[in-house]
Amino acid sequence: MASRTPPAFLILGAGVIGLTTALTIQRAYPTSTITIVAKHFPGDRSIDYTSPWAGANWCSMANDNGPLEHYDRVTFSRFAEMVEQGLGEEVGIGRMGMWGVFDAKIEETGILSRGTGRVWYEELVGGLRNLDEQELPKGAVFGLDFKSTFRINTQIYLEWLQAQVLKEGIKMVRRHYPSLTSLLSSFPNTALLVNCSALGSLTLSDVKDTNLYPTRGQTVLVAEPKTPIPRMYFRSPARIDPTTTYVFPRTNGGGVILGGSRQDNDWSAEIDMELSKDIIRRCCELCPELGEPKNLQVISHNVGLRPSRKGGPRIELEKWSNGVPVVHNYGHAGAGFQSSWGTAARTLELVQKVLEPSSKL
Amino acid sequence: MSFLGGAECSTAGNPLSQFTKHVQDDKSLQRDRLVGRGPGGMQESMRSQQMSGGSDGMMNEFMQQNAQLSQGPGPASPFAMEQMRRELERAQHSGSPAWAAEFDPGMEAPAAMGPGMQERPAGFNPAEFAKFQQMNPAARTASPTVNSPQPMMGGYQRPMYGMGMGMGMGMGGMGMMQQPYAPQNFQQPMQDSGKGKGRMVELDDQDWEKQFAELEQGDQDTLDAEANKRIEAELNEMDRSVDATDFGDFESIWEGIKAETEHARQLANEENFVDGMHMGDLDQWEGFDGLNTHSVRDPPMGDYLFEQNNAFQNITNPFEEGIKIMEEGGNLSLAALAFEAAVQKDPQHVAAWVKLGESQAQNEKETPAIRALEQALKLDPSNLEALMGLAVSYTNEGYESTAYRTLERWLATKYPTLIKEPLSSDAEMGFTDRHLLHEKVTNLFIEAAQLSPTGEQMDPDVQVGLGVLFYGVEEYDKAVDCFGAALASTESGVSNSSSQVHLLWNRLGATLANSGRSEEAIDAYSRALSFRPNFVRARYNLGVSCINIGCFTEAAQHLLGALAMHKVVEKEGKERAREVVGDGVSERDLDNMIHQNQSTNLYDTLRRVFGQMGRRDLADMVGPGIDVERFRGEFEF
Repeated sequence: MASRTPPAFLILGAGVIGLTTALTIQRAYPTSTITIVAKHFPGDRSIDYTSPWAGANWCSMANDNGPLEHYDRVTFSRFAEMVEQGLGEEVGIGRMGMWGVFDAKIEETGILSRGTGRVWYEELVGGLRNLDEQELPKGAVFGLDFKSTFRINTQIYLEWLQAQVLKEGIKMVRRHYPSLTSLLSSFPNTALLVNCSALGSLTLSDVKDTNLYPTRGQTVLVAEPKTPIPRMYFRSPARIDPTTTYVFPRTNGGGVILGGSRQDNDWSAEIDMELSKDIIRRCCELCPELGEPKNLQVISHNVGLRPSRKGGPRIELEKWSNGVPVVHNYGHAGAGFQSSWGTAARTLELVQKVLEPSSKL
Repeated sequence: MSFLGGAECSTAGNPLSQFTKHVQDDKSLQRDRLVGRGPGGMQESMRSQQMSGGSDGMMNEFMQQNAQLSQGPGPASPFAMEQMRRELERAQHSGSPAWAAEFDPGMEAPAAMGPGMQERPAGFNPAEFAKFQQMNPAARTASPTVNSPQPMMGGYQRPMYGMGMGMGMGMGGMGMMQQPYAPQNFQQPMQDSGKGKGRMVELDDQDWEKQFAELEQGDQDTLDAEANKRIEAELNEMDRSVDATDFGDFESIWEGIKAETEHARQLANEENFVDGMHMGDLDQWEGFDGLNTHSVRDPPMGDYLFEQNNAFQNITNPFEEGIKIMEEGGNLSLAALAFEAAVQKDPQHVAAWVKLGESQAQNEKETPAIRALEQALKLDPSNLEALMGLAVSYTNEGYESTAYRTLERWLATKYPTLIKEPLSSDAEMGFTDRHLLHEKVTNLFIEAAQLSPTGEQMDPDVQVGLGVLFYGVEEYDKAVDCFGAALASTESGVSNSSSQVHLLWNRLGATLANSGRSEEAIDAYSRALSFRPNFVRARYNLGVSCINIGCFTEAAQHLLGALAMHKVVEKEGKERAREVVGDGVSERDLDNMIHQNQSTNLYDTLRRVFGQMGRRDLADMVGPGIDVERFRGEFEF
């Protein structure tokens, strides 16, 4: 009987969300068997696989005074824990300050939480200091100095996640499925499926979540200057804006990521060289430590498609027609890394809700 | 609180319950999100009323109504401990040991709970609990289990029995005092049946849409795999539900499955046929049934599976017998058998299908309940009782979008004037955005609630629907208010009628339990059981709450008690069965009457409890062939 043997979990997708969710479930159900099915795994570079293209850092975009902020908070704490345990280098996460420069009044930037009118993570990042007049670039309205947040070397971090997954005996299967139903019929013993397929849920024929849309982002990876850049930079009229400029010096030989762009509903995988040039120009203006654009060693141009979703990420339990419970965990937009542990924890709650004995109305 | 005597059961000291609370905190965050979605964005969140100055006036107004209701001194408090205490008192003063009542169904009720029940000022404070606790020793002396060798659990378990039986009898008496069961209760909403009926009947096969979907991808292999998988699933279910030696039964079901699969295949093949009809957009087909309860992700429940050896088949009026058993709080398995016989005699008997579904749901058998209620709806698409029952069952099973659509249909049937746009369907929504659907249906229910000028005149059934809606998105505090308001309502509805008020207490309990308020939940379940001691679902829920506060022995007792009720072996049940079906039935026949519809949920939960107690030996004994009597040595139930 199914309940006598440990449950068999199936996870679709091996981006940062799929891998983190697998580890979170494994921790709660150590004797379970977990299989990750995906078309792409860490190490792959494909337009269909967004995680490796991420910046990435922790700078919450949530302002809902609710679950989104909570997801980011949980993730922040997890990052902090790993760094405090001295795992930062191995994991690819490091603490770093950041200057956020805004070209609009604070009320218009979207960084204030609904209801409270405050920046909810002020204490979390060790305080926010207003940048002095002379620290602000020309034309900026105001700036905030984030005392200490996180930067992520996504290349190392994804490989680390994968290594943890392998260490825990989680199986990985590389295969593409057109629908959750066809996936489930290949794995008939599945007790529960977690759908971490991001934009894939737009095309899975039995999910077809039309609230999903891509938000294209282009970045340039450049070599690290000989004098290390002391902080991350960020400049934008608003926290989420098509013209956001950012400079994330990565840990551990990760180079420096220059960004960026936000192009909704643009599926193009082609590098827009004009855009790249513009990004480099903007970044050099924002971060004097980079020097002149002509002196930069460009390592690569990158394009990724953020899995944006109207209404925010879908973290939801749904019974499939064959009775197998499916927990969706997709649609994290540009917040995948910084909300990964929080959304995985919420996913686990839903898993427990369906697998643990529950009261009946 | 007072109920749970032993120190080890105290919530404060129990790390497990602390954990639950913690998890609960996290979930509270989710609430905003779930409600706040939709086109208007977060600012429409209910909670945001504090911050955004009431962007949703209607909702605020409604919530205030509720707030007043539950604060006021009126009957709104769901925890009428004062009432319970007095009842206990009466039960004791009556001088007749409560347990005796159980064995003498004809005995006069020691306490008539009748109409006075709802007029009690609400009392729910520590003093009341203390008083109530003091009552317990007295109750214990009235209990035959006074010499229990397990004093730790005694403080909890025995009063339950003392009270449960005493009050149960009280309710039995009440049942007789009140009007006899009024048939119009379940036959009223027939207006629309002609229109919907035809549409629905065509669609009795569970997942033909899915088959279409598969074929559209040209994936015949998947189709076969899917068919096989379904067969396998059915077989697995049979493994659980059919005695291994019962090959005759197995054979017939196997034939049934083959036929079903063949039918599905035929339907799938017809796709070629329909292809010319411009099938392009699959989404359009998903909403095709017009009744909107069936979609790709709907539960493929299939047809109701009848018991093979049903002694009720030989009696002339099985429906009336079933009603009698239900009204007297008798054994639900027996009631279900009676209703099975009734619908087998007359497959068009809508009320019998409804009652069959209701008895199975109360018997903690959700799948057969859904099957029966769906059948009732096929015959009568506007049957309010079936719609509400289904919405609850779908919610329990996690088919939430289906639950919301079913509630929408309920509302459209009862309050047609509120419906300004066509009912939701997959076709119009494309991808089912559950949050939008939830918001839409919730708003409709709020409008319906506002039709009543004051709180107490609210339609209690609207409150129940609203409670189910809030429950579905984990807004448990609001759901508690709604179920409380339904209990407080002075209007007569289905949900607060004497034949269903125990369901309402159980729903309140389940909601409290899910919001981490286990002790209050236990009180509510106890109320439910005081009305219907044989209410298996409440007994099961009691078990779950005991698990949640780490009282595994008590949990096992409740779950075993629930299973014992299923077994129809208890004295009352057997005598009753014999009384109804005559003396020609052997003990074995009685024991074997329930095969087809087992509650895997009860088995799974009990097995888990034994696992948590470190008793693999006991866990291995749990399954469809379980002999609950073998556990009597170790557990009281």
